[in-house]
Amino acid sequence: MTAEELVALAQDVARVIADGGGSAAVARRLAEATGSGVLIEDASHHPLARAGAPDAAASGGEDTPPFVTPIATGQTLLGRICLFGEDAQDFAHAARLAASSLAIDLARASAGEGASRTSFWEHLIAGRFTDAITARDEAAARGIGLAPHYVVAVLECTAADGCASDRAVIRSAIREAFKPTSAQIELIERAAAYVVCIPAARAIDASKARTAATMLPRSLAKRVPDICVSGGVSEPAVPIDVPQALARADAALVIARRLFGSGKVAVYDELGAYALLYRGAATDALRDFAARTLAPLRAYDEKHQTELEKTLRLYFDLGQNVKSAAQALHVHRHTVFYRLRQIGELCGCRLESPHDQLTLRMAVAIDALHS
Amino acid sequence: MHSTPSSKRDVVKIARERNVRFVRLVFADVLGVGKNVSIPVDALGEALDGRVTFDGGSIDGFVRGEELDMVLVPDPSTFALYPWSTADGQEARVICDVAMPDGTPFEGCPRTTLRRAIESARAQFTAMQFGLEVEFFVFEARASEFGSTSTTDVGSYFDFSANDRGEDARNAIVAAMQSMGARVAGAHHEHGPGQHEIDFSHTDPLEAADMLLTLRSLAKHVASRFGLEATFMPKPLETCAGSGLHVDLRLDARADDDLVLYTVGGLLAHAPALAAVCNPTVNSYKRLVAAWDAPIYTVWSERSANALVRVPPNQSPKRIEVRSPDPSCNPYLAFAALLGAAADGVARQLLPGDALVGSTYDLTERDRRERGIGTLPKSLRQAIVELDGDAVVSASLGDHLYHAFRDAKLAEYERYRRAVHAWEHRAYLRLY
Repeated sequence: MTAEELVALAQDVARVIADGGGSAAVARRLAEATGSGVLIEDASHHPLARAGAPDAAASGGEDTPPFVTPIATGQTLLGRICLFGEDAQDFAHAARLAASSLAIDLARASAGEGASRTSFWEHLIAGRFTDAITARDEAAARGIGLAPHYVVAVLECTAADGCASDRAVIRSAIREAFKPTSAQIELIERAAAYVVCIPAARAIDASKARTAATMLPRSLAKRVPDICVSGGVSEPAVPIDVPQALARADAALVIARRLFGSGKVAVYDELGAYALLYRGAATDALRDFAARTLAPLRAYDEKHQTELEKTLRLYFDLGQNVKSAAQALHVHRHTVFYRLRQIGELCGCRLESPHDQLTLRMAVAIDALHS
Repeated sequence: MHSTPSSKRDVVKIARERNVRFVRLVFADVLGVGKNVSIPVDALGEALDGRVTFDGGSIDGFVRGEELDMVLVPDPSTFALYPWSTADGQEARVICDVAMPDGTPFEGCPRTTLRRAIESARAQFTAMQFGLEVEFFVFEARASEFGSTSTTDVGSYFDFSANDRGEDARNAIVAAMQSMGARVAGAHHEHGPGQHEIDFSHTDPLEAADMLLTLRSLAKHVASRFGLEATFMPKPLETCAGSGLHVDLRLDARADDDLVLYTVGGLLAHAPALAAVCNPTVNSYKRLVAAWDAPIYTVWSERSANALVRVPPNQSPKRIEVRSPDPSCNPYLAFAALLGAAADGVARQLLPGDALVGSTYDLTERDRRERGIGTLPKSLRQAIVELDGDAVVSASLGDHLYHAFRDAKLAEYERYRRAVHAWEHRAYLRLY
């Protein structure tokens, strides 16, 4: 670009910012002037605007852009301008000019929207909102649309050699890993861990969030070699209950580490008896646990006039002896095998797994003691 | 014992040794109907060099309305002797791809389309194999315009029917398929009277499609020798189960659980559009109703018999059973579309949601909404609308075949829509 063209671009950028066009207008103007794909993102790698060569500009954190210039005021990083395209390096001056103009705009916003978004989520997970209406009003005031429910995941990512990995790379990889859930996740850094709040409007969204989270140790390892991911995932919770969901995700992380070692993301709901044993529980909570665990069997028995719950109790009472259970029930032992398989399917567990067995045994025992 | 010839020279040698008089050069049209050009064995060498032409203008989905000589390109590995001989001597067949007169692959050839789909999916699936469970009916052959649906067979699932000629015919069909190189894993009586199932072992998708093409013509031929008629029509009897084609996708031995989930995610995401290709007749949608374990919802399960996709637990290599297709499909196009959908699931890392436990028929509308479960189209017309809106499945067919297939199916649906059916006479003729 000639000096005259650079001056014209600087004037244009200043004008679109003064007109309130923001990052989107700057990205468009910069793309027009350079013919490159342009991605403008904030300091947390949230894309703010894209323009030009759509494939390149849309790639976000996936590919390393040929040219990146920071948007900063003093020592404070406010964001980045990334240029994509073969000639991206040739437009370094233009990008730096746009970055310096945009810095003023983003600095204003960082005192407003960007910082306010981050601070809202930090307040929410810290449990600083007293009620749901206050939280929702506060979110609305900051331009944040809350989902009906959130699944919360806590992730600890360490390099295999014990060194801390590049956090920017990990952040980008976590966002990529949650792409299949089609959700705009909130990623908050907390000491050595990452807290991820995944919107879950429907049961299918929560299911996808849980699945994507449990896949993270493998999917992140494909993107960041030698990384070890451990984590815990909560059940879906309404926004005001996110702190409690976070506590359960934390508990799932600790339990998973102790039971399975590192490198596993565990879902709190699927930890059955271990979650109960970890946190301790009052009688009501014990009853609730037993009722929830045995509910699928009771519903099935009620609907189909079967004896799955009775079969399970007998099976445990008789020392897991199928032959004795069959005699007590006056059925063939194959029928007992069939019922045990049905029980496993309905309860979402495997009866041959010692962990799942403990959960069912405890549910049966608690039910006998407290119901 | 059948041995697979690997070269043109092998084919000519076997034909000479086995005293073959005629060779059928078999290819499929857009509807998956097997067509053939019969040549005397003397012309076999010329045919194998790709010098036999036919009028492509007279075949559905090719270049109708134009006189264009197209070239048949035989695949030597498919050369097989028919398990019967005529008064004129032994007959054999070889399955062909279709090429343009200048030898370039014809984009309207279903077999070539499947080859391309296999290549495209190679990035996601290094060695995917297809196993087939094919259901069909065998009825008494009667001299009538459309055939009959009468049978003396009263058997059901896995029954022995001692007095049933259908069972003898099924055994003869299995023997004939084996003699032509197919690896049959099993065969049994199915739910409906006169209904049977033959299961084929896992093999590469192209060979599996060739097998189904062969079975459909061979079963009719063999059944006729027993005074019976075999039909692969999806739903010949209103009050019995229809005939399905369960396609069992066996993944590479190194495939992990993530790959299985993404594959299932792709198959479910594209299921409505896949229906147009895998359930391609107006009759297909009379099978896809909430009865006889026919799949109607886009849901997966480990054990449910009426889920659209079933992933049997603890399998190695991992298997994914797609239960919606029916045997009236063009196997080349159906398998290409399945591969395209599965590969898209892996490429975009589509997640399928939780596996369903229990019967899908018990799902309420609210359950389905919450779990993000869709329904399969209820008619061919609806399925074509889904196909039109699905860039992945239509791209798997290729531009030429997508349009040819779509036009043929819309015309078929329109003929059906205009026809006055026997049910309408029963319901309205005397009432109004």
